[in-house]
Amino acid sequence: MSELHLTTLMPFVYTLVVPFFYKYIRRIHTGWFVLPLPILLFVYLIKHISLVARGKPIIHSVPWIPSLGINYTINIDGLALIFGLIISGIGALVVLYSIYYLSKDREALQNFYVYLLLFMGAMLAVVFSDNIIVLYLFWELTSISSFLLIAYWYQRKSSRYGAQKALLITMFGGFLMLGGFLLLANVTGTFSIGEMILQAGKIKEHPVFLPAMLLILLGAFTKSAQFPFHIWLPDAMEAPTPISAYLHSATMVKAGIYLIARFTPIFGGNMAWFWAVSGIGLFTLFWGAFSAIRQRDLKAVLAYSTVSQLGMITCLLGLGSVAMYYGPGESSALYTSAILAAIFHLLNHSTFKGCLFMVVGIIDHQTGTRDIRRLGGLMNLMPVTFTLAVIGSFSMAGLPPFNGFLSKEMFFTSVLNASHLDIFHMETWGIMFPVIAWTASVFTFIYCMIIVFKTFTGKYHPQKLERKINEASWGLLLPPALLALLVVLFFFFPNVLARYLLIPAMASVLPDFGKTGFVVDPIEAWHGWTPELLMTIGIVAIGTLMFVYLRKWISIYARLPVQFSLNNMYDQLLVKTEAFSARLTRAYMTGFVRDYLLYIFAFFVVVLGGIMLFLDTFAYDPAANNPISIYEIILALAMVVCALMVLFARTRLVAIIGVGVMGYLVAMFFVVFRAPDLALTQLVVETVTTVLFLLCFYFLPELKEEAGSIGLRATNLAVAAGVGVIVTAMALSAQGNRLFAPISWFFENSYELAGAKNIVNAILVDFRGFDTMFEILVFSIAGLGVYTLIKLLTRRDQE
Amino acid sequence: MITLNHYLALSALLFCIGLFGALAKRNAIAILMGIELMLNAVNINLVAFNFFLDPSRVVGQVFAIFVVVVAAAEVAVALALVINIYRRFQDSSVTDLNWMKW
Amino acid sequence: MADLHLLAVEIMVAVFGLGLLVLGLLVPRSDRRGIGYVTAAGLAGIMVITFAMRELSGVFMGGYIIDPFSNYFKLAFLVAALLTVFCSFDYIEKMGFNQGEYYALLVFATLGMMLLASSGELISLYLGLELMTITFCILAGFHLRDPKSGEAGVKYILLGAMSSAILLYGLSLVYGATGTVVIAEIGQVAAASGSTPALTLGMIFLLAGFAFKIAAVPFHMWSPDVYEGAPTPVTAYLSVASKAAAFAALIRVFFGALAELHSIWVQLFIALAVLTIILGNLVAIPQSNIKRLMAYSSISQAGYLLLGIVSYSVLGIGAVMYYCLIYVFGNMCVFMAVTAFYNNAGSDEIRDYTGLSRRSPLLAAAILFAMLSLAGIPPMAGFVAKLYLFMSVISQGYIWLALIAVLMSMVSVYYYLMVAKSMYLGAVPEGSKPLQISPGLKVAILASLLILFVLGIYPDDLTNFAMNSAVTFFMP
Repeated sequence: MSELHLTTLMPFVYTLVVPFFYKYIRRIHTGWFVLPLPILLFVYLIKHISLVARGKPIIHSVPWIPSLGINYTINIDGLALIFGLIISGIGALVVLYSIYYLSKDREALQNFYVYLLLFMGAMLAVVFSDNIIVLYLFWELTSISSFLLIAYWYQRKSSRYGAQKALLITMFGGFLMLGGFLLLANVTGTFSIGEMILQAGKIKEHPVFLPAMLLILLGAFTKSAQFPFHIWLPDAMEAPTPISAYLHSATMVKAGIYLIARFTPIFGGNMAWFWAVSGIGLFTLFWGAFSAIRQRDLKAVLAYSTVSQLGMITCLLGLGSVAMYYGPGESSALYTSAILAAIFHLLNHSTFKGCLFMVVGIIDHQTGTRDIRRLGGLMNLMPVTFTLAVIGSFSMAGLPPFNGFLSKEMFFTSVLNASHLDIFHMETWGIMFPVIAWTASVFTFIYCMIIVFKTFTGKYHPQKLERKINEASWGLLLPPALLALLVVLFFFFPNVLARYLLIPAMASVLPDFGKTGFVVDPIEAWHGWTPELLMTIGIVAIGTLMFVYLRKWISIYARLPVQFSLNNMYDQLLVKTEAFSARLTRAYMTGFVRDYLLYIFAFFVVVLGGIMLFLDTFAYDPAANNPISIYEIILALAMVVCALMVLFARTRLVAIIGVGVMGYLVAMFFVVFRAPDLALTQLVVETVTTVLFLLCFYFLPELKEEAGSIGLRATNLAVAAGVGVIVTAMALSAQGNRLFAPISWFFENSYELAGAKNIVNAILVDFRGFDTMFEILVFSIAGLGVYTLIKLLTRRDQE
Repeated sequence: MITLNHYLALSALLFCIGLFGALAKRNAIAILMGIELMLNAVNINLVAFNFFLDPSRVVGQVFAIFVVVVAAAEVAVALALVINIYRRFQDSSVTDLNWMKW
Repeated sequence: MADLHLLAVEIMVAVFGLGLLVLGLLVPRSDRRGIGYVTAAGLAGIMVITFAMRELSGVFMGGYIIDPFSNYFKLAFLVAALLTVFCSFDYIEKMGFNQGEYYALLVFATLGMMLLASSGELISLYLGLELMTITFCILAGFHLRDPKSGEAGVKYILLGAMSSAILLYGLSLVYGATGTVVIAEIGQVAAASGSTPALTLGMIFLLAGFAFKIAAVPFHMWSPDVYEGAPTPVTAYLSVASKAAAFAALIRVFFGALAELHSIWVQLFIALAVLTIILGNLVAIPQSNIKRLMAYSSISQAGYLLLGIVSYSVLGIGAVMYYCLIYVFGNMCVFMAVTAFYNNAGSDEIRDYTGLSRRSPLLAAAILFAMLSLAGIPPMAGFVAKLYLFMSVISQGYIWLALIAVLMSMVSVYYYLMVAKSMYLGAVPEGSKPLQISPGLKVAILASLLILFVLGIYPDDLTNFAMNSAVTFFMP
């Protein structure tokens, strides 16, 4: 265990302590005790920036399951570090915010902070792990802690619904991702991502390349709420707002992005990867923005906007992967900048979206509602909150002087570059990218305006609100204010950021390029009258126009068919699955033994017959048959008659007699086979059994007429006959093939050792003494069982 | 002299008759009788194999003895369980065993 | 008979079982609870001795194999038996069982399983199987006041006898095809003569018989009814140990005697595994009774275990062994909690579990984490176990099989989640009291949970032992 392991696992250790703080020091809000941890982690990670920026990742390894070659390797490279900083940094702000957001008197704070710390630890471990199994392990833990946090107010039905939905979808993806990981591990023989990247060429040649890629992407898409899996994210907004700000916009939903970035060196440069990542991302960008506008709940608007922004980052990563196709050098510089844009926007999104969520939390906290229709005119009552909302929203809409403007411009550059591509069928479809991106950005602009202007301007409706409105306390305002500060700072000093954080992260996404150095233009706000700038101006113009006339066209949303909506499909899927499985259970779990036997033997016939046909082993050699002596025929016939008698007996006595006679006939066969001991045993046992049956019938009523239908009987007969025909054919062909090797060489001198004349007895006692002992045991237990059951019965009768 | 073939065929036939009995009957005891028939078929198999393949070693016979005895034990326990249920059903004066599914 | 020391464990268990019977007769009825404690102490003692002798190996009288493989399974049975005893204290006192007989039967069932795990030839295999089955039939029907228990007993013995008959028919054919009943010799003869129709037919019958004992689809239908009806501790024991024992014997027979035919039986086991995993998980969804839910979940677990068999490799057997033990702890943990709940609330319906997390945090946590382990969610031990199984099939190229298994794990998460939701997010029923749980059971639950966590984080010693034991099946 290195210092690094201990540090990153600290949140888990801390979860053990938090309940004590909550239990014993109730006067002080538990959040104050939690706060130092993310701050310390943040500072600890800051210390590593300079080392990592020099291209020296920090790697420590501890064996976990050596027999499978699974080690817990921590690898802090540029990509991991940037995520680590977001996780710990936003984490600290969220904890601070939660101290003022959640009442220490009314809420179950120990649960809240334990879950939060679990999440923080798991998320850090996900991004720091070089081992895919460890990564998966903590990946699932983030899903679980997210579930717990969404269901924090579990008394609400919607919380339970949202929590379950989020867990099912993300875990579904997680399982698939594990499948993809295992495929990769099987091809490369290692569980380390770093070593896999070295074998990227081998993976590309392998037939499992595509399935592994798709499975891993499904994991990433479900987690990062990409279309059509985005439906869990809006429902996850039932979580307390600090959690929405932390998990469902800044960190957890970016785990999928992380995964895509992490696996770009392995899968990138391939057409399937390019289209899957950039195509899905682009569509998600559009769909999220389009859907955000119809929302009435401010948090739902933010949720869909998160979906949309995540789509944008995903799309950028897909576009950047083209660089892998061209390889290091000048020709790929156009595309590497997309990766830079992706990482930059990832960071920017965490700042402005975190800020916006906290603003919405403040509105909710102060007014008691998040419904846009009930809000309005808050600008004068909450001026600071208003300012923060403007900064966050305008940055999201891509307006200067905020960081969102820079990354949005870079996004436009990337889609424009992509439209000039002449590989991967982009020569036909490339123009789609700028068109859709621009349209989506118009919608983005509109919902950003909705957030600001529908809430803060317009008419104030005090009659619609339950409480009197005033500005929030400084504790609620400080965390979003810090984020807003970053939003502005990043705009003015993007290149400092690029040098220490963004470019090292790029080097992790494109490791081959890092060696030769990147061709990166400095990030500038002003490039002249470029197409990008014109696009932005167009967005502002059209967007403003559409926002003003929102009322005229918003009705188109109502025309979208409800039954085809993804949410509806998800609900229907669960309902249908339950109904199907209930029907299935009712259909075949009748509770009747005979039904069960029928199913079993029908299956059996199919398997047997199938195998026989498949192996083509039917063979019959009539020469092996000799004439049969008459008494053997009589014996055999008598047996069959007896057996049938048992089956079709009308009275129980006849049936018992049938069984008894059958037993005796078998004993006679044993005589024919020169097995007198066996014959005697059989006689005795058969007698006892028959007596038992008789005794039993003394207690039981008459056999009833079987009321089965002809059809059922026919099926029974068919199944039994099927087994019969196949078994007989098999037995005959067995003999026909003359399969029985002479095998008497096994124990040649057994009898001399035993020194007894009665061979069977000798074997039973001397050579099978052990088995005989167990047989006696079986018998005694049967006796014991019968005794216990009957005794209990009689005792109960007496009582 | 008849060959192993005939015995195997006979045994298979008995096995299937027993199987049909077990499938077709609703009464627990009747099912048990069907299973008895199947076990008899197994014993014929074992002893026939023993006789035709390797009469000097009596492994098949020994096996058959074990089967015979253990089967009897099984029947005894099954009957005890059935009687047990039946007696209780008498107490609760339900006229049919239909409430019980088997 | 110089080799008798090889049998030390079996002899101890047998003597201990008989001793319990005598004790049951001697002790007055009022002091019967002590028998439970004696059983627990005795089993724990035997467990320690077995653990100390885990590396012992040898062959007794040509047909009874003592090796690390069998010792491993014996330990698993003993652990399961011990936990079952802890589970039984309060339960059987409430039910008014005959304690001496009850505990003795539990011990004898354990003995039957040991015989099954160690048997190197077909006759003792059959005896072990019957010893186990007959004992369980009696135990399943032990709850006299509950008609469902009687029904369970009858169902189990009828279908058990039927499956024994099928198995026996298969054994007789294998004997006929090779002329011997010793598993190693069958393997040699089969290797010399190649696959023959009689052997193939015998193999299919054996497969059906074993599929029945491990409750693989479509041979599984007895298990929900029997699990629901049997007394809960018996269900617990039946669901874990009898399955593990059947798997031990299955591995011995199929890898030892029928290795020659593996190209055929692997295909059949794939069919069984796919059916079992899919159907077991799908049908578990609508269950409202927790014992029935666990029955279907156990069915699907058997499907996962079959993956290890399918892979036909050392890794596969080792994975099965590891999974069996984890499954013992996971399932026993759930069943201990279910028994404790039943003792208090008198119900096994999932809807009565609402708000359990606030009535008894321990029980709720036990069920939750054990179910997480069963579903294969990290960091529980079940995850590592499933990982080994998936790796074993993937390394043999059955990628689609692993994917089906992974997807169906998702379904299992769904129905386990329903229970968790009821326990954690449901409202506490009106007028409910906090639950009373005996200290012994509490300790046992906590210990199993702890083991599930520890084995999830430090699986290596155990898996190494399992892998090393599994190597013997692939040595010439």
